Amino acid sequence: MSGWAQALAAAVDLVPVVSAGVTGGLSAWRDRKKSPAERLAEGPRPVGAALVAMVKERRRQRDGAAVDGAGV
Amino acid sequence: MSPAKAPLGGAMGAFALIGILVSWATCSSGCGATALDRSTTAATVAKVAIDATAGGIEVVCSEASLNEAPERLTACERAIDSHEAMRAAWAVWAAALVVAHSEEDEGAIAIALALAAPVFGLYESIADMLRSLGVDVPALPWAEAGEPS
Repeated sequence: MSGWAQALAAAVDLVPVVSAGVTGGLSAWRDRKKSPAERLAEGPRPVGAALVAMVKERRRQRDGAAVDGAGV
Repeated sequence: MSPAKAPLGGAMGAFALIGILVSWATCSSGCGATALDRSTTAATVAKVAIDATAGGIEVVCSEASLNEAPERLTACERAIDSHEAMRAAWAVWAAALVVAHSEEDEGAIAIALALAAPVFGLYESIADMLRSLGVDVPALPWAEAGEPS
């Protein structure tokens, strides 16, 4: 893959990160006049459920392979 | 740069951008206010940083990334657990800040300010994990905002 293609792929990967930073920053600025209860009403978002499930599944597979390898 | 390194290199820039956003937002709306006001501003900005670390974890621990570097799995598990703990700690901090604003009691304010520390500590643990994977995550520029003046 060429350098430009890699840079483009990296930029596409980072859309959710940059989007969170920019929209969150603008939201914090817009809400600065609100009361503390209003500003703090909504908490931060979790890591994507699909990613968490994928990591848990890989961990289960890894632990299962380790048990099989130990002959248990 | 290998395909696996490309997203990490890009993530460095994204985290630097977030660091700038965090310091800008904190100083524009919190400088010169009381310790409780600064801590409240820090909590709103921390929410942005926590959202961004979720995005960073999703980039660094994506399926494609783990296919190329399976040894990252343990670090990714820890980052996800720490992120969930950080969200819980943020919720407690935010609730204490709301109470401190309404009660205006010195004890409640002291508790609310102290509850910032666990959130900062968990952020740093996730930042250390991402740094170990080659992502340059900035230190919190607003950590001192939770301390009483």
